[in-house]
Amino acid sequence: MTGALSHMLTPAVVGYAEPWWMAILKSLVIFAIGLQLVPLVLMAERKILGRFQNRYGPNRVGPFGAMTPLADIVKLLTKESFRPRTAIGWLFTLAPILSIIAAVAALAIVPFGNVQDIFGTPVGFYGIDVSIGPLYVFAFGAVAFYGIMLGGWSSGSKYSFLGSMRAAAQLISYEVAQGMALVGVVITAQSMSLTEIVEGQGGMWYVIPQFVGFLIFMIASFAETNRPPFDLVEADGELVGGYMTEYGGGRFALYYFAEYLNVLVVSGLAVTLFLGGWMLPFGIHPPGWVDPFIVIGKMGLFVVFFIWVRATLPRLRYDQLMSFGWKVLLPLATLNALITAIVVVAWY
Amino acid sequence: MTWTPGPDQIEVVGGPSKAGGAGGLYRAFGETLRGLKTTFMQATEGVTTVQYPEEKIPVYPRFRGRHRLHTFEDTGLEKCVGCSLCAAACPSDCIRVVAAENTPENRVSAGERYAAVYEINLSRCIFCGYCEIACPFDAITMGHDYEMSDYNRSDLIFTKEMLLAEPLERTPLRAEGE
Amino acid sequence: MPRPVAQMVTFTLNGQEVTAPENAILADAALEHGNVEIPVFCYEPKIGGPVGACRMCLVEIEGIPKLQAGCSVPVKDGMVVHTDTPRVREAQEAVLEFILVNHPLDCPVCDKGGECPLQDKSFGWGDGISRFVEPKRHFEKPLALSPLIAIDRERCILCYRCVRFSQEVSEDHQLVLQERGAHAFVATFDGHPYVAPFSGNIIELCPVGALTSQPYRFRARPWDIEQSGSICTLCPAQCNVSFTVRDDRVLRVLQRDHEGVDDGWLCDKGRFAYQAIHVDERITQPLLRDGGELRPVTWELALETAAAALGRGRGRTAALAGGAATNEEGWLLQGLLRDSLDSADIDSRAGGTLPLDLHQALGAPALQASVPDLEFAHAVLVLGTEPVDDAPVLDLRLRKGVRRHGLQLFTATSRPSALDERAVLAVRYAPGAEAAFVAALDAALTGADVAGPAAAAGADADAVRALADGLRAAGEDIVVLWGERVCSGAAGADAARGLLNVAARLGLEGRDGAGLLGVPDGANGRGLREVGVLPNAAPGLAAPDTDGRDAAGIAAALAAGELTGVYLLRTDPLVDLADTPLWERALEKATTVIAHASFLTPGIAEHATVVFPAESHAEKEGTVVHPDGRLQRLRPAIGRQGETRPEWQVLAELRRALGNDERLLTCSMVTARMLESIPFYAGLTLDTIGADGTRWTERPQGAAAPAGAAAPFDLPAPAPAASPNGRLRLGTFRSIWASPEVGASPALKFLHPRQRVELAPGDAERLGVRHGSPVTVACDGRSVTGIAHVRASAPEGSVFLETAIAADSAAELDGPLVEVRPA
Repeated sequence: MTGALSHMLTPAVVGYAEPWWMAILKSLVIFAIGLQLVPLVLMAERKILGRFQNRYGPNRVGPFGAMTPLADIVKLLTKESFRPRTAIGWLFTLAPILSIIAAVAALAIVPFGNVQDIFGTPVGFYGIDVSIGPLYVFAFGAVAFYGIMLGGWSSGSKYSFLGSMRAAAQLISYEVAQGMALVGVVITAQSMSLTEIVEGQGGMWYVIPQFVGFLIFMIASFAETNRPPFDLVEADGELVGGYMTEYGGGRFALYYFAEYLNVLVVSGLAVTLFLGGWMLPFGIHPPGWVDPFIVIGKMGLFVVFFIWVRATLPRLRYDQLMSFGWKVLLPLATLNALITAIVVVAWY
Repeated sequence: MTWTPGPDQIEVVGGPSKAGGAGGLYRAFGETLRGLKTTFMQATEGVTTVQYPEEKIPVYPRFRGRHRLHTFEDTGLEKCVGCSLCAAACPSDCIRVVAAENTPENRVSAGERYAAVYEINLSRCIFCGYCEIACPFDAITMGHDYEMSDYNRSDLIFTKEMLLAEPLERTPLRAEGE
Repeated sequence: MPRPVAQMVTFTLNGQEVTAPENAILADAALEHGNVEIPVFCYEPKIGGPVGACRMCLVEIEGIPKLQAGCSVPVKDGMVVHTDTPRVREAQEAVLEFILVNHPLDCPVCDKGGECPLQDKSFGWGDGISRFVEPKRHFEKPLALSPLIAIDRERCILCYRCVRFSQEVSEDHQLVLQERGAHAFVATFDGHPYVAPFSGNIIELCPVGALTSQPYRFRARPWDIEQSGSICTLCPAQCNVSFTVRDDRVLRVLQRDHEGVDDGWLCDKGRFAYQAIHVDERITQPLLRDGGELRPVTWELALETAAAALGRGRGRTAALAGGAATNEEGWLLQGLLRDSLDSADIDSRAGGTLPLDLHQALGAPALQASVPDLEFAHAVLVLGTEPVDDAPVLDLRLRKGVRRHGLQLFTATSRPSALDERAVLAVRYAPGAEAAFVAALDAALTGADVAGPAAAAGADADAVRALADGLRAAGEDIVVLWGERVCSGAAGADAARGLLNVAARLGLEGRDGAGLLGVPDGANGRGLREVGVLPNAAPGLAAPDTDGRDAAGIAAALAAGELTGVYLLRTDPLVDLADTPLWERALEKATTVIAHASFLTPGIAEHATVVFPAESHAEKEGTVVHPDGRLQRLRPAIGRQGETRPEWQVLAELRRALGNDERLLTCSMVTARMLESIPFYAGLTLDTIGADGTRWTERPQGAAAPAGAAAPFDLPAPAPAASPNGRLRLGTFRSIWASPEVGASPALKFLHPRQRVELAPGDAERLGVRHGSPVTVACDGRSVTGIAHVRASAPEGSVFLETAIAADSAAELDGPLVEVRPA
């Protein structure tokens, strides 16, 4: 078991050896960047959503309301961490922690650039580059699902429980389609290493040959991150607040954080798998240190898209959600994988 | 007996064909794009929010805001004689008047009588303006001020002194033709 | 003259058949029987006949070419009347326009605004537009017609109502209309203030805002106030009143017309003394004597102290009830004394009690006259009472009877009465010689020797005979209006027997429209007697287990140390009772003096150990009994001021503390128990008493009242009245204004009496006393000072002094003869 795990986590690109401190350093840097990005996303969401609705969005705290997330954090962290009498104590505490761990761990494999020389030391601009790439993401996605499920169940509240039940069904349903959508990319790139997939898009970004896969991936991603129009998990009209109804203060902040981190992870994956990662079109080759900015910029586009969709589409009915996932997305993704396989085999 | 539609029958126009199949999928995709375009076009229109405490929408001259009591400009005497007609007209019963008699040493209003106590409970007032209409001496009018929120209900009972005082010009008045 | 029986006739009013009593005034008949309002200003049936001064009531009557005044035309059979033709409308509009020509449009300032008949008529019948652009007449405004009434002559529409009231109802002849035409205005002829006992009524009579109440001036508007009906308990007349209440304060008292009680009038005491409810001097929290001074304490402490003191004084405690106490309070008080304190020493009569059978006989239902009987009787004998002082509205009722119904009025009093001028015959007797006078009258009626008793009474034997003949000749319906002082004092029982004899000789018993009407000293004197606040009567005038001491006996026993405590329910012996020196000794000696009082009168301030705040009549709940046997209901108009608690509650609380828990939780429970315990009240409830009251003497259950002694009695030869011999006989009277409420009311204070020494011009000249100069009246080393009031009608040999005043009261003097000298 340990052996298998270590094999799975073996770096795919064995062009250099990373010292152990480098891994720690990188994880700290990525964690820090992730933490910095979440408030930005939060702020962007509010501001952009406001514009879509012909209003300013928050503009009271700091210049242009820029300090609003900080105020939010201060507020959430200083609030009382209460818990319902019917809750199961330690699970109630554990659940949001699971969620945030899973989200941060998934962020580790998003490549922000290729291996660069920094002061003579080769550094890969990513957390780890595992040979199983997308599977790693799905694995942690599954762990994150525990965070939601346990949180809803251990709260001891019917709204939380219903929310988590919905979340369970929704996440499982769309994970299948999401996975199948990636099969096309993996087949095209003929690798599961994300850096290799990015390198493979040197000629053409996979969004063009794998357009259908891209669409399916994006749709499924909305569902996986519980974003509108698939936010049935926390449909406030029906469920009050979904699985996090009973959470407040710091614990709620963790869930909230994990949700936006997941948006970033999914955006990062989409950039990596379909939009050529750190590469730019039209043969522009900037120096290596620009790569992370390119990736973050492309991720930003996706984030804006997420917000835009939220401003546009109403929430789906639950049965429509399920039938869409199983009856449309999954067959389509399967078909896409099949056709890709046929084309790749026939081509090469 | 079967029913046959008359000449004025209403043509029933069918809705979009039943969703499903590739056509439905294509149309759903197209409609989604159209929706995205709609919201995007909305975003380009700019913001309609009025930043209230900093910006204020000017009120019309006949806007019925906080009441004012008036004095004669030449003599400085109060116009109100404490007749209580405003209290009688008030549908929400928020005006309390206690009258008293003017004396040569203490002349407050022009007539024999003046309002010793004149209170409007603004937390009950519905700003209908009946008091203004009822007043035989134009002593009470509705002003333009609508900013009256307070932390304490008892502070919303405006006394005669508060109503007589020149109100802070906090509310812009709409210019002619605006 | 007995009440006229009206025949019903039918006439046509606006095409509709209306049945009404014949000769009823058209305006009244149209409103009452035809539901058509004919607008009137000057017409007011209470004042008297129509005058047709304002012409507002013009109507068209078929067969008469000109429009007729609806207030002056009596209804006849077959008459056809139109009140809504264009001619009538035009006339009404024109009259209103005329009336408004000189009426200023200052309704927003005017106190009448909102309840003004002129406003109503202008809205209902006016044109709405005035063509009069010329300047209106102007008068200085407002003038004080009196300290109580403001007059605004600009507003006056010259309807004469106030002048007619003054001339024809109260007959004080003070108000007149001066000048002519548009310059006419209402004023007193000589410019003096209009001060009279009934002056306030003209405020209510005025159909515009010309006459307004000074104390109510600018206080409230009709929509600010609520009216609350109750009874005025400031005197035995017990007028029905309506309290005007704003913000839990009484602002005004209006009449609540009750034909059987007050005929729609009020005296100025009843109308203006409400101010005493809201003054700082009023006691509104319990007081306890601590180190010689009364200090405010909590109710719990006061009740505890009172209960403990009463418990210690078991068997040695007496109680006195004042006239303002209700039946409930009296009933609880006698229960407290008799059941909880094993004492029978309880009294409510100032002049001592009578044998029980005489109480029963004087209160017997068959012998009771009602108030309207005063108006419709053939003759009324006013015996030993001055209605203006003792029960003011009865004075107006008698004047109305004389003026309108041919009543023959006879007065027999020691002090000259205001009614003498309207009387057929006025007889004087010596002060305190009531028993002898009644004996003389009895003798005159039977044809026995009059000279002896008349001489003993200090009366003229011929006058007594003339009185007897006059009463005999007047008719069968005779009412004797007698004052409680007739049957008080040592000879009280003889006087009562004589009175019953007179009633028997005149055949008053069982006759409708005839009988006796006794005016008690206290407002609810009759009720208190009936609920057993007498030393020798239990509730229902039944015989008690043991007889106790009366008021004078209580004073003596307290002074002698046989009694140690006294419970004073709304009375102050130093003010209300005779023989102040004895009472001062008595209260000084008493260890426990528990009082219910509203004001710190001398006896309370100096001697009370525990003082409970007393309710005012506007706060009170309960029942009272009118002198003619009418049970009337008091309803609270305002909340109790300060910490005041109801008296019944305090009494029930004390009874509970002393071991008699009767579970009396509300006043209506007390009323129900009280009514149950009295046989002749059987079946009465608060609902059946209702807003107008019920005369128990008229109910079949009233027959359960004990019959008492049967007339005629053999009367002993009366003791002769003291011979002056250079000194003067002392007579006392209690002024209408002698009450702490009058003294505490800011607007009425000027009427609060100081000692006034009334004497005849002859005596004054002999003693060297000038009208208005201070004099000293002395007797047995005690003296009071007062202002001499030389009165032409006063009998020689007598001097009359006021009682019930705080300083220099006649109760200081023992009599019967006093020395008068200039001070």
